[in-house]
Amino acid sequence: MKTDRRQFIRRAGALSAAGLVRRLGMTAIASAAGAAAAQSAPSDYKALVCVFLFGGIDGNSVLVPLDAAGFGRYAAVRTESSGLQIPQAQWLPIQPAGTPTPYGLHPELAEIQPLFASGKLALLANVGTLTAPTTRANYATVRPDSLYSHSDQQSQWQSAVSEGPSRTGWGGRLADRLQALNGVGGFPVVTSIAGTNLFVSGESTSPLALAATGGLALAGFNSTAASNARLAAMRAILSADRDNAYVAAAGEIGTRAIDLSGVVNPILTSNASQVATLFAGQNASIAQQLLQVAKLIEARAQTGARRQVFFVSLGGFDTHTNELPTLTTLLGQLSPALRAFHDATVMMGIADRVTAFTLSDFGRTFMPASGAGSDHAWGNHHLVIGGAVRGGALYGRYPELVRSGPDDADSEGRWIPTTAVDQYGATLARWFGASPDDLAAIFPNLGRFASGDLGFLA
Amino acid sequence: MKSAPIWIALLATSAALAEPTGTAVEYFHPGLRHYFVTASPGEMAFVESGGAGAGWVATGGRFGVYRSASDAPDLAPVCRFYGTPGIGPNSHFYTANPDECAFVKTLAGWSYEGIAFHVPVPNGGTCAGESTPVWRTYNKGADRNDANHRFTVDPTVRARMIAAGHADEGPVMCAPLSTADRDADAVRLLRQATFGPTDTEVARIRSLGAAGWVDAQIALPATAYPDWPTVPANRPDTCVDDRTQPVRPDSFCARDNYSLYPLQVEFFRSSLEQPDQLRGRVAFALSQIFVVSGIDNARNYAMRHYQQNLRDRAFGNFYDLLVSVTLSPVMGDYLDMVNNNKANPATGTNPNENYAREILQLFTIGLFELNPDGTLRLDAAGKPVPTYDLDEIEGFARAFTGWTYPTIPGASARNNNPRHYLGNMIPVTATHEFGTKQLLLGVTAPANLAPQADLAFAHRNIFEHPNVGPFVGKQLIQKLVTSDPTPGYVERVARAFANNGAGQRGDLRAVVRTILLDPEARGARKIDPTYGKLTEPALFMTGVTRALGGRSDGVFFRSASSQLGQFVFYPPSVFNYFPPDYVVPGTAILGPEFGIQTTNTAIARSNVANSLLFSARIAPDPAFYGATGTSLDLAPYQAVASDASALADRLDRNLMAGRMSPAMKSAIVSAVNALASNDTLGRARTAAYLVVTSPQYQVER
Repeated sequence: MKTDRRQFIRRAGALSAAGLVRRLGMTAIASAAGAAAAQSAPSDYKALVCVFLFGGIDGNSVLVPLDAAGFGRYAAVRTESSGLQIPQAQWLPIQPAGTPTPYGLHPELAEIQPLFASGKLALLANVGTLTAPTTRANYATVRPDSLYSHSDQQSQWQSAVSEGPSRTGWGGRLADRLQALNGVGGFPVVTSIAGTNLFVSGESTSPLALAATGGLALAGFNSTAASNARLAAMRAILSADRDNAYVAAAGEIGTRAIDLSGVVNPILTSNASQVATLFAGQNASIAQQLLQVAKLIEARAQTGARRQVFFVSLGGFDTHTNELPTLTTLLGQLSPALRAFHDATVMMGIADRVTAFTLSDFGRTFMPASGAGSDHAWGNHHLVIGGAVRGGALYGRYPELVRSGPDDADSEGRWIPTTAVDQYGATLARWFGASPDDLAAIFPNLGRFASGDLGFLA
Repeated sequence: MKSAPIWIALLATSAALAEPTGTAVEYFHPGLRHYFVTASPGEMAFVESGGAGAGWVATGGRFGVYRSASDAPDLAPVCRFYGTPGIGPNSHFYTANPDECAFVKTLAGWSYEGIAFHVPVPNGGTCAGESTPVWRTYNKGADRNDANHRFTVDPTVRARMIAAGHADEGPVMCAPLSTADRDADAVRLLRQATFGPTDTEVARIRSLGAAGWVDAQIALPATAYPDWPTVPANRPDTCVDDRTQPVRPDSFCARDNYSLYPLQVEFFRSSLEQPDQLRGRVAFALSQIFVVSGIDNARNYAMRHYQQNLRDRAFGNFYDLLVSVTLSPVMGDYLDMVNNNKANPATGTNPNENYAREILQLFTIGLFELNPDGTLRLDAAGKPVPTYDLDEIEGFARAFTGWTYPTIPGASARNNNPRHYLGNMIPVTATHEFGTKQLLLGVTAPANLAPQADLAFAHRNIFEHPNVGPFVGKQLIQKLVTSDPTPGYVERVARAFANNGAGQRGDLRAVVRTILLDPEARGARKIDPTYGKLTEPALFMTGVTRALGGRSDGVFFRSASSQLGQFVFYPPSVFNYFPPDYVVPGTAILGPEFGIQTTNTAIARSNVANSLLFSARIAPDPAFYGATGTSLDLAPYQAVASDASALADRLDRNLMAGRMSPAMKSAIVSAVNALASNDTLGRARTAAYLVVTSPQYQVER
């Protein structure tokens, strides 16, 4: 890891004063790395964009059956007086291929609803953390650690490991296996616009993390000799003193930040982005994050990246109370942002090379809680968007909306997942370019489930 | 502020030992896996130049000694032995015990080399005055003729060596602490217990001693946030921000009542100046355990009362603190215990599980049963044991029904009152669940308890759970001292939680005192490679400012805290800005603050340092009434700035507790010397920038 970074520095330019200035983003010219790489986009580019919905989005409010019988089961538990029922007429109808009855999408998902009909949006029903195929009969003995806990279930979604701790996530492990495609010491595979977490952490790779807006540049330096001397000293100090693990870790992050700032700052602060207009008028953080992602994809010739995994997030889904107004706000931000992002990939001509997908802590109880909300549960429904998606279909099996029914872990409608995170992630990773060996390393428990390819990607 | 009266300083000095006249330095050979100590400067040079063979590296371990028996009273000579070539191990051995010395002299495997240095010796296992125990651990290598001993003044090192298989041979010598050691310990204590060291407080610790200083801090009354007026829950249309200059105190009605702006600004302003620094630090730590957030409730007066309560109860009893947190309408709103009604068959709703879940998982006991030292208790199959399951969650959810907002004065009380945050939540019999409830440890709450009695029963059930001491104690150690404490340290703190010495459980005063006065917090230089913690962003900024004579109205720090990922009082969720169990990527060690340390925030920290240092003053914000801006005072550093080395040394002493390495110092000196020697401001800024942006400064140890 350290060697790679140093090689990256060398590639980015020697430690000349001019090189330092370029890496710090003081000038508007293309970065040294960009200049070094041929200014043409890699032909086999691919990107995965993980949209993590923190708090545990209520899938029961995202996707429901719209036929009379199915909606009747929904309305019988999500009663009008519970404050948790979205009236039948408000749901956005969709007709999944091969399914006899229609389903409804949450009313705020209007921008992405057409993507379902045009085959660019797929839905994955009742997916969740599993240690092995699980049923109501064996749930008491076969189940992930610390079900229903936010932090643990986030970790398990991010690591695809549901028994015991994991020190890496599947985004990071994917990067470990495919970093070579970006070149030794090349641009990092993983970029997070939403901080660090388990998903983005690999064994031998670590993410580039960026703010939701703005660039990445050290302030206060110029091209004077004194300034260059101070920067050289700063870099020397960052790489000195490895006698303490925390000093070492902070030093590595600081060094990496300065190295990468020279490549990404010109991209993020440029006015030349063609895709930015697609996000015009969207001020929500999720839109800004996805715009940062779009800008980096747009500049793939400059970064030289052939494989990128992005992490963005939207929080606030822990809707124990007041759920419907909260979802109206949050999905009202998510839907136009996802649509603008998809449109950006179409504009760039690489829609079939970019796949966005949602993850979340867990689903929520089908039974309402006091205060017009829902409590922590398990299996959940998710969205996959992109030009390579075999959309217009519902993958996996939608649960029977019956309390204490065959899909309920207890009596409040905590759905036992019928598809594992491992299968979901492996389908994405296979498309991204992971070999069978890679998949076995990234998803160590994949073999416990029937299929490692759910078929939603071409 | 004035420094302590001279007579106090004299009193303290009279109890001190004479300055050490030599230093023992430790080396390690990774191939041999042997440690070696020497107090001979000639031998150090010999070892470092490879004279003893390649591979010996200094560990950073060192302790004071006396070179002559007459350097201080009551010294014992330390015998030095070497493994007899061809017979004994390739190793040295030291003892200050005359009987042991005489015995080892009789062994063929060891050759006596003479008296190496002189030290005081422990009396009944303790070291008197301002000396610190030298612990000896043993690699149990005699059987394979590979005996080697490690001598360390760092109790964390001792604990890690024992955990790694060494035998504990106890304290075998006492090392006198030098003036520099004691200054360093004072700076370290101030980084652990305040918003940042100042010269004044260093002097106060040197005169009162660590324990005396901590007790004096605990005795100080709580600084009060301004008692901002209670306002309607929803902003009236007339309450807006008027940007007309000059601003009046009430110009920004919306900002100052319906965002936490005033509280955030006051937090930073106060943290720079408040006398009750330790209380402020502990309250800030508690605010990151008992988390509420302005994201969900940005009514300034409400959050003020919540945060003031943490200040007021920082040294009280944990049970009382926990109940006060539960009954706060701010917490009630945040985690949905307010207006949490009993099951309603008509609407098909259940009691809300949110507070039940998080009070257990985050505030008190955690997910798994713990040993008293904070390690996981494992079952026969080697798996951790969950502390609760759905039955307990549903039990607590039902116990926590029947509470609503305090009634707005003049309004009539309802079962589900509208939002109001002055005073505690109030009980409502009609919405309370009166059945029995499954609680922790197999306890069932009896039926027919009133809301208050049910709540007390449930809280007592939690409070008595054996996890609380190690669970909360470990987090407080992490917030104050070190990210990945040894089990022994956690256990000592948990013991103080269980019993404050007067038979009381949950006394936070005793817990905080124990944390700060523990040998793993105090004493000589800490060299364990997993010791310390990354200073969290808010404390990074206050620490730099206090150390560099800064003054601020708090406005700049409020906005900067957002850039650094710790927008105070607005954590992203009840899981805080970063979790206590965050593992530093690529390692196996806990480092909670690394949960927000990224390429982005690392650069942002440096840019905050740039803003503070490379301008004469961060200008007053015209939108803040009474704004004064933010500025530092580098004059004491400019005074020595023509000498780059002296400048680095002064920053090292005041900011880094003497931990600046030769490599770091040399980098600073060369950067400073790139500026003209009469550019004292530029030189002081350059050196200070390089120090405060360094991981070596930002990691406190």
